[in-house]
Amino acid sequence: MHEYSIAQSIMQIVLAEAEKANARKVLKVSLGIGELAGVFPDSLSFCFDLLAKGTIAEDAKLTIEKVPIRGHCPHCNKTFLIKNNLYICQNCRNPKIEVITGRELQINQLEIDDETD
Amino acid sequence: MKQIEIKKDILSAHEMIANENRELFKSNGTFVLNLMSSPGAGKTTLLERTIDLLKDTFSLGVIEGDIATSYDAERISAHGVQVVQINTGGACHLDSAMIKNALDGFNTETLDVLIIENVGNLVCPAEFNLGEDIKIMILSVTEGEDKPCKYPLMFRIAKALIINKVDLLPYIDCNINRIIKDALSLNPDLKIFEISCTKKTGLNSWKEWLEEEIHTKKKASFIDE
Repeated sequence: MHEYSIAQSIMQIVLAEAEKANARKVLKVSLGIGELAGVFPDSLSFCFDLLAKGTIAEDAKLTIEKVPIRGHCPHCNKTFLIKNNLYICQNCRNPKIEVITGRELQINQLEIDDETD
Repeated sequence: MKQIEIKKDILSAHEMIANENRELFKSNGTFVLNLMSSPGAGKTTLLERTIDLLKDTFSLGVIEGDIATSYDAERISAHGVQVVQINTGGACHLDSAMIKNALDGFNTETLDVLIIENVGNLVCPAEFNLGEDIKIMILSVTEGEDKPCKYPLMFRIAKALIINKVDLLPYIDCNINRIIKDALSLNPDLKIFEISCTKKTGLNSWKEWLEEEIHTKKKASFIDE
């Protein structure tokens, strides 16, 4: 996917949240990216670093937690990992499952230096 | 040094506008389709056929999305339907803010159906909600029977799949049953139509299903008033 525009959205949120928290510097940005989201982490890091230059997020470390695709079966109530495009309950073979994780594009946490440091 | 919990969706700004669009469509009883496919699968031709099938019954509007040119809007305009062309200038998908701006070109209160033809792309449009009721995917038989497995998200989020250009099946090496099987294993509720837009086959089932969806939306909007 187009990592540059995602990095732009990340920067907007990071700078807004940092301002709310009276941050002097953003040290770390932790993301949760689902496997289904189709984002290439190296490209995203590259674009983020580019956009962060000249802001309080310059040199911030970007960490990406990959979220696997998990399904839940409403029939037998089991939760399981989905691999190889097999969208079917691993327990009872019910094909009508819910995908509960895997599409995330989330900012989880920031680590900042605030004005008290 | 301090940790701050954020837990915020990166695309939350887009999602907020998509919800605003959705509310507007709901209050006007407008049924909205988001048509997606790779370039050349037949979106615009399907749109032309669909317009001719529906325009005597419903008031229609079309939003065309392309990186450049207004070729598609010109084709649609020839069918006597309101159309707005969005040129993204490089963006590979439409987003909710672009749709919100384009709505200024319509009298939205009188629209029964709005069809949005997205930019040709099998990846990015899947991530961006526009405020639509349903997403329709078009895959032509010339693109290869392996596409559902290669682009799973697109097939999972669609309500219906149109397999287009079926008139070409005798001339190419495509196992249409594999497309159907793989698509249904990704999305068991997917409604599948086998169509040839050029030969005008398979369009009646598509029309009947679409009319049912439109009426269901209108009934729901009427009940909510």
